[in-house]
Amino acid sequence: MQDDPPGALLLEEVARALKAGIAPGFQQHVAANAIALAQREDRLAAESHAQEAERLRGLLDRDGSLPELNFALAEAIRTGAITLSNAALREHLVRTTIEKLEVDQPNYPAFRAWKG
Amino acid sequence: MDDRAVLADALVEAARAGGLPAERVERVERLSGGASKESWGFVLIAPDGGETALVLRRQPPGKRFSSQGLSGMTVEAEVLRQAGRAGVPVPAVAFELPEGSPAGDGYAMARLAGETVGVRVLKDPSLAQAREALARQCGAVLARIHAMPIDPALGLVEHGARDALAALEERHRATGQARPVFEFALRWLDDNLPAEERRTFLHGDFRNGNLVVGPEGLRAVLDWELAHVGAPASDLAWICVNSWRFQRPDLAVGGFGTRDDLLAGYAEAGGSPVDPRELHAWEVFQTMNWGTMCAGGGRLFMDGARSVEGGMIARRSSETEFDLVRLLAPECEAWNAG
Repeated sequence: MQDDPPGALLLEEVARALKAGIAPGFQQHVAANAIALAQREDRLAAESHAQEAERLRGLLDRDGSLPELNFALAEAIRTGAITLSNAALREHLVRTTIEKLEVDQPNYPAFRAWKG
Repeated sequence: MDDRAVLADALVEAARAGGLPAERVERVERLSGGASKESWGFVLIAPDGGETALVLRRQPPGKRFSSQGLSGMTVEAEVLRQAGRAGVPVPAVAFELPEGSPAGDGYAMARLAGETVGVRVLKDPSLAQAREALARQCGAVLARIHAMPIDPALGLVEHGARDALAALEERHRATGQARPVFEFALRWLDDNLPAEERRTFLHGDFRNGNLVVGPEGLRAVLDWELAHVGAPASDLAWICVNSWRFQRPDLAVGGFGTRDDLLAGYAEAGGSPVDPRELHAWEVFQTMNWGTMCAGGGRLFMDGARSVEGGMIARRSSETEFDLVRLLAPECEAWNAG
């Protein structure tokens, strides 16, 4: 599940910053990155969230919204109801993290290095 | 009189009170926008015309000190002096701002030439030779920091591995976010983070970005505000966090060196041997530690403290989740699935 703040709120902030007058250089660079992130989220998140929810329903054997399912998984890990050696859990965490990073930072150096 | 003129006058007065021959102050310029401290560069002119380049480090009025670190600027200046006496390369403290100074709460220190920006430390061709020896030098300097006597007058925060883990979990809970990867890391740490055998003086923020590097090597260690007492392996692990390696994730120590070199330098300078498994466990801890700082920014954004930059830092917490699953589930089949 993509983290807060969602792309739409980042875009709101970019718009606000542009109206107020954005300094050339670093601040512009950050704003451009925020727009690109929101675009990737728009393109990728619906599909990855659907797959994530499906995996979560399988892992937890219950239904719910994506945030509810994520809270339930966090709780199950915390209490030991799902153990760290659970292969399906590990697979879910790896897949979900890859999906998140494809939106947040596809150019994160360690991520790029892994993708080869 | 504008703010800069007020600042310049206050600096002259503070320098004189500190026993320095000071005629006037010139070239006052804001340096970094540090997260919690301000840095100002200036040149102190003596009556004989002699110039000394200095940096003012001050606590902006109204900003609170981190509960994780030192209790104030006077303590920080004293920590720098003690580190210098222990053979740790640090900028020399020139003078402190007296209480009630219009310049605020802080101190002036020598302005050192050299590179501090992490990305440039890794890229600048003139630092190529320095980079080769840097991990070993970092190890040696950390050994000297960890050998510093713990002066009760500094009132350093002290926490062992278990307290640190409990505090990390509490900070994560305070974000109110469901993060199965962080939960996984917490469980793993609960089983794998060794209780420290000894507690030492720690820098607390020793990483690429807080080092001054010149062509001949490490010139100084900056930013001591998170100094505390705890497990020495935590300091060695912080500089290995992937986020500080910038474009060189393949070089574990700050993007410029190997863990073997770091630990060799540490041992050569008298540091007690560190078990690689303990270092690994602390890397997991410190990776989540950075991730929790990013995630906390997400909470602040959603609570109304909105900025593009703050939001984008919050969206970096997933990079630490990536690093955590790489550290904790490297063998997982899902890494090989297209």
